[in-house]
Amino acid sequence: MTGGKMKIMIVEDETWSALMIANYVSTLGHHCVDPIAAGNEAVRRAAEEDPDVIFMDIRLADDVNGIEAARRIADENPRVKIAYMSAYQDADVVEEARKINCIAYFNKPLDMGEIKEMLEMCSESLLNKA
Amino acid sequence: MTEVYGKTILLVEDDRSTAYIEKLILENHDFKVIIASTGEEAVDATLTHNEINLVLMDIDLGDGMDGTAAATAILAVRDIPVIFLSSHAEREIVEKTEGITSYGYILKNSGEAVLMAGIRMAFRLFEARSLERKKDTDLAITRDFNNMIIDMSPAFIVAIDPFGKTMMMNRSMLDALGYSFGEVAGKDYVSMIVPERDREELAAVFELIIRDREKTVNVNRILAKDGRELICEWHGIPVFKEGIYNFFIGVGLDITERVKAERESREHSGLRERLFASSKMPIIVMDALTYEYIECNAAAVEIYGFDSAADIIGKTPLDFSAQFQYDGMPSHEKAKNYIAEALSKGFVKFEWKHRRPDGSEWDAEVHLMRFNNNGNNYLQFTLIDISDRKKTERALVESEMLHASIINCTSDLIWSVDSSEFRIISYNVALKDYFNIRGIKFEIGSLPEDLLPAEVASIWREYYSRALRDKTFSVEYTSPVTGKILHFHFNTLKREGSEFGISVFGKDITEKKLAEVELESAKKKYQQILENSPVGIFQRKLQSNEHENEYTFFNGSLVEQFECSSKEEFLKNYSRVSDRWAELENYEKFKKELVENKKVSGWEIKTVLKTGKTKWFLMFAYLEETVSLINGFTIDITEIKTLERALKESEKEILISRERVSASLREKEALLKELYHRTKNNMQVMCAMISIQSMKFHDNDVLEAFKDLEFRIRSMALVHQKLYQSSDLSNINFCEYITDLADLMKKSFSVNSKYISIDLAVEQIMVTIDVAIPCGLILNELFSNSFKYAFSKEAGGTIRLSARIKGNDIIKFEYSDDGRGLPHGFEVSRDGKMGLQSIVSIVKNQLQGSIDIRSNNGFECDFSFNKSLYKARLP
Repeated sequence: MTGGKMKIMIVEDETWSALMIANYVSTLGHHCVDPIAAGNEAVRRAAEEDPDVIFMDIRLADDVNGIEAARRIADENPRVKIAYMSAYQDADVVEEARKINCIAYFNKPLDMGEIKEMLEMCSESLLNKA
Repeated sequence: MTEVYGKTILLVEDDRSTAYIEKLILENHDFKVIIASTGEEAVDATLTHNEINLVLMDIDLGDGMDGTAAATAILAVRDIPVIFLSSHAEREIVEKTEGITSYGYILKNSGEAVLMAGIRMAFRLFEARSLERKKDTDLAITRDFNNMIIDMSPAFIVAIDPFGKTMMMNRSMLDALGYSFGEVAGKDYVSMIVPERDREELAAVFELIIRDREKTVNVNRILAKDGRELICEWHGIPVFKEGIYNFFIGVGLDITERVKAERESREHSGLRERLFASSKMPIIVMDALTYEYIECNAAAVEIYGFDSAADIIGKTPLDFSAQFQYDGMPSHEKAKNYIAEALSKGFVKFEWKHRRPDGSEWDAEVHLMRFNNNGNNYLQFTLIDISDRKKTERALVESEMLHASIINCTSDLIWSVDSSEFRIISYNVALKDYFNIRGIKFEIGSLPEDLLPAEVASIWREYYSRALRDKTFSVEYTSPVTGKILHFHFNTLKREGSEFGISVFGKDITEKKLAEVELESAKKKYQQILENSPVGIFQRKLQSNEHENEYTFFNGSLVEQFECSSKEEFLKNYSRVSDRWAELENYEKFKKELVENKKVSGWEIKTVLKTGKTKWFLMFAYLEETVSLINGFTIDITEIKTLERALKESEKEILISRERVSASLREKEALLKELYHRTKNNMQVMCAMISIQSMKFHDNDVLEAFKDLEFRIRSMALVHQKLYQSSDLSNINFCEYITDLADLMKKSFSVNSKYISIDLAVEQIMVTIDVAIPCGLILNELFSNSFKYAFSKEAGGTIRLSARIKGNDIIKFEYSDDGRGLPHGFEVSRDGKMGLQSIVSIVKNQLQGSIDIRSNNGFECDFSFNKSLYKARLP
């Protein structure tokens, strides 16, 4: 599974949620950078860290929301995979998100089984490319 | 009968419509008609139109020359019959025609028959007069209509009433006797005029006349005022009205001179031959056997219309006679009778209708005498041309009858009294009837005291005296006997400048008075209705000058509407248009529409009162165009207008507040959504906390407990998601929720659909959060239970869930799996884990429903509850 080790970035303003994902992702053997709570911060760190997968909450701590942050990150790093998370299930929000490097759209509360499936899928595709 | 058809009549009438109607009537009788509307036009027309045969002259012709003046002017240049027309029967109007040769006086609207009779009369009269004029008989016609024809006759004419009183005596007779009419009117004819020795004989003649109703001829003497005696040949004519003897007319010829001449002739026999030849009296001698004329004088030749005696000698009477005589008998038979009578009696006198060689007929009085010469019988006769007298006689009778019929047919009371004692000198039938009905003896010569109670008679004497003093006056008189209201008009009667009597015209105006009273009361009633109407009503002139408009009427309501305390105050403050119309351009529009359509309905007018108060009126108006008057009706709609405005205002406010409500509602919705979102997010945080917390433990039971906890939270979070997505933010679609929940459970338990299938049959039910959350928790437990314990990994199985509405909002769930079922003797309360116990508790306590858990080839659980249980909690 070493070959499938990915760099994961979690953008989530709820600390507990971020911690839960980080813990879980780590148990699966991936590398997690420190969770980020604000959109601007996410854009900056994404440029620095160049993650494989980003868990992106829609609503963030600052005025840049998840969709906006994702767009800016994707502009810099078109191959990044973004898993959106939200308690929002508005169709237009979901639609918007799906257009920007979307690998999944998780409904909160999160289902860890779904997250595991998604990460396995990403890992395989990375391996194939390598 | 005089031929009148095709003659031309000049109709002088200032009223065009009357003229038109009369023209039609005349043309209908084959007259040609020329119309003149003024006196001046009439005079010009008679000068330029020679074909005019007669003038119908309206007396009242407006401003210019009046009818009598026009007639005088016409008669000065042309000899033409003129008939006066007037709508007034007053004697003063009739007297206007005095001094004018009048051929008749006709009341307007007397009817076609009277008009035609009058015209025919006038033509006949005119012919008769024309003949008179030929003989240079200058007859001054200066009497009023009644006496005119009579007075112009050279013959004596006298009318005597059935009581023997003199009703009328003509000018020539009065002159001959030396009396004035006043002296003889109403006096006993016989005792005054007839010499004592002839009275008995005359009384017999009257009796005979009345009995036989025939004309008589007799010779008797009459006595002049100065005692002279005149010998007259009298032709008596009884006049009957409706079969009853009315009066007697005597037409007399003064034969005093003739009788004297005859006497002298007898006395101077030597002169006979010469007298015979030179006599102006036509004398003819006839053979009594052969009827041949054997001798005649020059006067006879002339009267017969021949040139010499030779044309007459040898002829018989039939050669000079009309075919028939007056009574319709053939002349030859009639002649035989008279000759036989003359031969037997020696003398006979009769009237004879002659014929001249040119065919024209003439009338003669024949005195036929027998004489004997040398044993042979001869007849000698004299002729007197009485054509004129006959014509006059006929015209007189007709005129008199026409006049009498007009006067006697009216219900008006007409009479005259003398000026000295106020004795009745003439009267009409209506007056006579008035007294006769009351059993009062009424006759010519009656004094007021004879007819009326003393006190009433004295009133009448005062009236008569006043009439003599004032010449003419009118009085309204309420009869003390009948209670009727009468209008009397008094006029003095003049002859030759001196008053000899008073004429009275009385009209019953009781009905008219009553009608007037009724009209007045009706007027009052309508005025009251108008005055008391709640609608403002007015009438005013429509004028171009808006600053002055005069009201011809306005009612109290209008005054009240303008909040004035009196009509004067209203007129003072609101008489100008600008006082009443706050918007003058609105008035201009109103006026335009009124003039165009003649009426205006429901026009709104804004008025600012002098007090500064604004009022609104609704006006209805129509235009009486002919008199340029506006009739208007106004209703005060100020209150309605105020309400209308208030209503508009409040409508606006409602709109604004509705806007506010919906804005606030939108805000609330957003807040609610946010709340649901946050709740759900918090649940995520809770799940994360549990998840992180569980990492510290490695005991499977503990981990499972954490897992169960997480599932329960997630099933609740799903409710919030559904609520957040639902359209009304309070109800969620139960079917969608259960489907999603089942999916979530399957995923969470990593259930392989190959082995375990979930068969859902959930009806479309909308439920509130209060129902959805407990249900979600129940189903979460049931699914967990089945996934954990029901099936072996290899065999798998099926879960069935149905939810349907039963009756009144009862939802019934039926859950089953075909797994292992419950252990034998299992009791939930005793043996059940926390999960199952919580199910029972939730159904019974929270949902107040019923639940049944059992084993039946697997696990079965039915539960039902009322979904509206918590409805009351919702706003």
